[in-house]
Amino acid sequence: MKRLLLFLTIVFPALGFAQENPPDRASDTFLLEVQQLMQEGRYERAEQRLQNAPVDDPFALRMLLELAQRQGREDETSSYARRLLALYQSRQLQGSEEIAQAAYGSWQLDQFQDSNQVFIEAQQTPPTTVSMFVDWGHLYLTKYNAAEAETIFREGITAGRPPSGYYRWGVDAAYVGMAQALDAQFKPGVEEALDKALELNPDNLDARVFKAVLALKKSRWKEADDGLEEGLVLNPRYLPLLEVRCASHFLQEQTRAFETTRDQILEISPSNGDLFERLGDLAASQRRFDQAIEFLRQALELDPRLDSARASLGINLLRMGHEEEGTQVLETAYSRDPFNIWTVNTLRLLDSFDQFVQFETPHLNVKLHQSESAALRPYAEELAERSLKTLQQKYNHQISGKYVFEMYPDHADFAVRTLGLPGLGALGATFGRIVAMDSPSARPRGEFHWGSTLWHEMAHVVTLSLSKDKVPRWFTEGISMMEERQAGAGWGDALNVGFVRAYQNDALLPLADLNSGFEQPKNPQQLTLSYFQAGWVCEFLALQYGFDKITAMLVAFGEEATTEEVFQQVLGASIEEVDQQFREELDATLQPLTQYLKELSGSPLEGVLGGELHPTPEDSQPDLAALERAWLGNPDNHFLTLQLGTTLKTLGRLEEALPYLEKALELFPTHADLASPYALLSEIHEELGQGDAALEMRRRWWQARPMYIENAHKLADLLSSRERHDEAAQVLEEVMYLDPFQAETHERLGDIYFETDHFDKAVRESEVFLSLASVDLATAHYKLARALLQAGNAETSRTHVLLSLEIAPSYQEAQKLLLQLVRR
Amino acid sequence: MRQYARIREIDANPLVKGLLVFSFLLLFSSPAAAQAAETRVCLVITGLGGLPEYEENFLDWGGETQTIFQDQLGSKVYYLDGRIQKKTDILDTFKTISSSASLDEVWIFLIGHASYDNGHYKFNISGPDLTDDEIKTFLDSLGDTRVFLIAATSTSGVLASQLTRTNRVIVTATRSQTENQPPLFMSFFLEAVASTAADTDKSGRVSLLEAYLFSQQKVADWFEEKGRILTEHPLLEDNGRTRLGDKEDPLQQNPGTRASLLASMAYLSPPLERIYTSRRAEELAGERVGIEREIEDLKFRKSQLPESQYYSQLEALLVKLATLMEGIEEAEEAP
Repeated sequence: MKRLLLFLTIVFPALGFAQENPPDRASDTFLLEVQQLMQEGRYERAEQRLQNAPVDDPFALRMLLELAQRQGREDETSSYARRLLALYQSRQLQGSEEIAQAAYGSWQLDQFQDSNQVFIEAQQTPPTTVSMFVDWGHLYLTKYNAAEAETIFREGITAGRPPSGYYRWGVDAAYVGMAQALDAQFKPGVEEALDKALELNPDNLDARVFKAVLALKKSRWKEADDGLEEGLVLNPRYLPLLEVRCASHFLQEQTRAFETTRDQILEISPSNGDLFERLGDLAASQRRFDQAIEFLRQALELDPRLDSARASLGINLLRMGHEEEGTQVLETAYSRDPFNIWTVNTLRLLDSFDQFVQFETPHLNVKLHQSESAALRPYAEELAERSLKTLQQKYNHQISGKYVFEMYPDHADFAVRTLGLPGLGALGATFGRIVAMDSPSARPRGEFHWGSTLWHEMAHVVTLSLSKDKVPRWFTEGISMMEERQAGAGWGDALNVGFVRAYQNDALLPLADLNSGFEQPKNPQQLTLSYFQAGWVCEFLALQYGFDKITAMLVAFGEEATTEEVFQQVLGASIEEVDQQFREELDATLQPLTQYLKELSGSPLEGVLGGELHPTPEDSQPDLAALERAWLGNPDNHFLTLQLGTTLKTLGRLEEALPYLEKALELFPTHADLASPYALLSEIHEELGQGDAALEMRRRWWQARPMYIENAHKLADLLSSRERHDEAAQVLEEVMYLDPFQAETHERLGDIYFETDHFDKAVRESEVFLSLASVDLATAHYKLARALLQAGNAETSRTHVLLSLEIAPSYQEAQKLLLQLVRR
Repeated sequence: MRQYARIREIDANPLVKGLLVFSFLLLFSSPAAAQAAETRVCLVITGLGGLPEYEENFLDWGGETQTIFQDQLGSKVYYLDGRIQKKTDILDTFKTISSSASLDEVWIFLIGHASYDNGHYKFNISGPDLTDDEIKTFLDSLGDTRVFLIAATSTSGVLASQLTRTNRVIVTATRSQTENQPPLFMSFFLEAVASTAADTDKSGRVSLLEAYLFSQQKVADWFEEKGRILTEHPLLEDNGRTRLGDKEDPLQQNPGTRASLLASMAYLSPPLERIYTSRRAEELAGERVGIEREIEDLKFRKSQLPESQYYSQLEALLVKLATLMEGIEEAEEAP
C-alpha cells in the first residue's frame, strides 16, 4: 500500500498530462510503471514487463539497457545501445527526448563524439526538456568537462519537465548532476544542490549515493550509513548504494561487513569494476594510497575497459613515488582515453621533470627546477633536513624510507600534482610519499615565506607517518600550523583581525566539526579560519594537557580510534568538553581584542577604515581635531590610535605621533604589515635620527613578520653599521626564505661571511651569487675564488680567479689573488 | 728623490689583431680616448614627449647625454630639440656633420617616441617625422666613419637590421616594430655610464658594450620586479656581423667575441689617467699594453684551442700581467 501511494505521489506527477501514444510506442503509463519497478530494484519484473513493449520503443530499449547494466550483463548493454542507434539512423526517432536516447546509446558504445553530436541534434529539435540535459551533462562529466556539464545541468533545470509525455529524468536529477559537477570543480553549493534534489524527489537514489560519498569523505560515518540505509530501503539492489556501503564498511574497518557487501555486489554484477574503482577513489581521498592502488588494480582486473580507474591507478602510483610504473599506466590510460584531463596534465607534468634537477638527501629525493636549483638548493636542502630532524626528535618517531620532495616554480604544475585530493593547502601538500609545494618564484616576490611552508609540510610527513595516515585533517593541519609558528620568529600565521571578527560573529566551527572546515569549507574564508583555529587548538592542547598528549593522540589515531575515542582515551575528556575549554581560552584572549578592534560607527574613520587595518590614504586624512575628540572617547581603540599617530606623522609632528603609535602597537602587536605601527615607528625614529630606536623597532617588526625584504635590508644595514655582523647575517639568511633569487643579497651575505671568517658559508653565498649574477661576472668569480682559497680549496679557487681575469684581465684584486695562488 | 716627468698612461683598449677585416686599421687608429674633440661628433635629438612626464624624461636624458660627451669626453655635440626644431633643421645638421673633415666617430642618440607606419620607422618630432630612410641616407653619407647609433625609442628594433653595416654599431631599445611602449632603456644606459657595476672588465671606464649589457639586464630586472611582462628587448648590431639580444648569445658561445666587438672599443667615459713617479714603473707600464693584446688575441682564438691548452696559456699571460702590475706598484711604493 505504501508503495502504491509512493507510486501515485511521485511517479504520476511526472506524467504531466498523459496523452495517447502511437501504436509503435509504449504508453507513458506503462513506461512509468517499469521505471518504478526499476526504482524499487525489482529488475526481473521490470524486464518481464518490458517484453510487452513495442520492439522499437526507444524508452523501453533504454530501460532494458539500464537493467542489463545494473545486473552486469555487458553484452546485452551493447546490443540495446546498437538498437537505439539503428532507430536513429533509420530516422525512426522523433523529438528531442527520443533522439537523446540514441545519443545515450552511442555514449554507452564509447562513441563519445558521436554521442555529443546526437545530443546537439536533440537540443536543436524543440521542445527540449530536463531529461535530455541530464544525460548530456553526465556525458560531459564522464569526459572530465565538469564546467560544461554544470552549464548543461543548469540549462536542464531552466528547461524543466515537459507539459506532457514520458521523460526519464526530472529536475531533481539535474540538481544531482549539478552537485557532481560543482564538486568536481571544487566549487561551493554541492550540499545545497543535493538538498534541493531530495526536496523535489525524496526517493532520488543518486542524490542519496552522492550525499553518502560526501559524508564518508568527511568521516561522518553515521550520517553516511543512515543515508545509505534509507536508500537501500527504497532499492536494496541499487549497485551504487551497495558500492558506497561497501566503501563505508572498508573505511570503518568493518572487515566482515565489507566482505559480505562486496560479495553481494559481485553476485549481482560479477564483473563490477566500478565497486573497486569507487573503493580506490575513496581510499585515496582518505590518503590510504597503498590500499587505493590495490583496489584500482582489482577494478582493472575485473573490467580492463575502466580507463578512469587506470588513470587513478597511475596517479596514485605516482603519489606513492612509483614513478616508472605510474608513468607506464598513465601512458596506457592516455592511449585509450585521451580526454582524461587528469591523465594528460599528469603526463605533461612528468615530461617537465626533464627540466628538474634531482638529488638525494638523507630523507628525501628532491626535485628542483633547473632554473632555480643553484639558488634554492642550499637553503631548501638544509631546511628540509633540519625540519625533519627536529620534528622526528620532537615526536619521537622516525620516518621510514625516502620521500619525494618537489618545488614547482609554476603553480599550475603543483596544482596538477595535487589534483583530486580534497582540502589540500594552496601552497604546499603532503600526500602518500610526496611533498610538493610552490617554489618562491611561483608567487609574487616577497609574498611567500616558503621556509615556513616547507616546515609545515615536513610536519605533515611526521604526523601522517606516526598516525599511519589515519589522523583527521584538522589535527594534522593544526599540528603543522603549530610547528610552523614554533620554527622561527614570526613564521606561520599570526592572529589577525579577520579571526577576531569571526570569533566575534560566532563563525568558528565547533571542534567536533572542524574537519569540515578543511574537507568541505563553505567558502575560502572558512578554510583560512579553520587552519588558524586548528593551530590554536593544538597549541592549547599542548599547553593544557602536555605536548606528549599530542604524540599520544597521533598514535591513537594510527590504531584506528575515532576522534571521540582518541579524546577520551588520551585526554580523558570528550571532544565537547575540550571544545568548551578551548572556547574559554578564546574568550580570555580575544574578548579584550574585540574591544580594541571595534569598528567605530560615527567616528571620523567611519567609511574610511571599513574594519581594515590600513590607515587612510594621505589625501583623505580625517580632520585631526575630530580624530582627537574621537580618540578621547575611545583611547583603547587600535584603529583610532593608529590613525591618530599616522595623521600626526603625515603632518610632520613626529614626536607627538610616537606615543600613539606605540600604544597602537601595544593594543594589537600582531598587526605588522606595511601600514602597521612597526613600520611607522621605524620611519619616525630614522627621521629623528634615533638610530638605536630605529634598529630596535625594525628588529621587532622583522621578528613579528619576516615578510618585508626592504625592512630586512635596512635592519641589516643598521646592524652592520654597529659591527653586529652575525645578527645582520642572520637577518639576510632569513630573507632567503622569502626570495633567494636576488644576487645582491647573496653578494652582501657572502661579503659578511668572508669578513667574519665564516669561509664555508662565504663559499656557499658566493656560489649562489655567481649563479645569479648576470652583469658583473668578473666580480662574482673573484669573490668565489677568494672564499674558496680561505676555505681550503685552492684548486677550484684558481679556476675561478682565472675565469674572473679572463673577463677582466686588469682586475687588480683578482690579479693579486692569482699571484697568491701561484706562489703557494 | 728624483721627480720624473709626468707621463700620461692611456689605458689600452682590448684590441684584436688577425682575422678581422677591420681589426688592423682599428689597432692603430681607434683608441677612443686618444681622439681629439674635433674628430668625434655627437648628435643628440630629443623628440616630442606627448605627456609632460615623458617630455621631462626625454629632455633630462638628452641633457645628460650632452654633458657626458661635451664635458667628460670633450666631443663636439649637436643638440636638437624635436619640440622646436623641425625635420629641415635636423637634415641640415646631418649635412653639416657629414661635410666635416677628418671625422673618426659619430655618435647619434635618438631619444623619444617613434612609430612604425607603412613599413617605415618614424621618429616623432614637431612637424613631419624623421624617417628611417633619412637616417640611413645620413649614415651612408658618413662613409667609413665609425658610427654609434643609440635609438632609445619605441619600435626602434626595426632599425637594427636596416642600418647595420661595417663600422657601425646600432643599439635599439626594442627588438621590433611591435614593441611600441615608451622604453626605459635610456634611463639605465645613462646609469651605466656613471656606474662602476657596469664596468665589468674592470678597466676603469664603461664601453658601449658594457653600457648596453648593463641596461639590458636592468630593464629585464625592472619588469620582473614590477611583475610585468617585458615589453622591451634591447638589441645591439655590431659591425654588420654580430647581433646581441637574440636568444643565441655570441658572448656566451665564445667569450673571445667580446673583445672583437666594435662596441667594446667605444667608450662612454674618459680613460683613467695614471701618473707614474718612478722610471721603473713607467718602463713596466709600457709593457702592459703588449701583454693585454696577447691576452685578447688568445681569447679570440679560444674556440680553436683545446680547453686545457687555452687556460694554461691564459694563466701564463695573466700571471705575467699580474706580476707586471705588482712590479709597477712596488716601483711606485719604493722610496
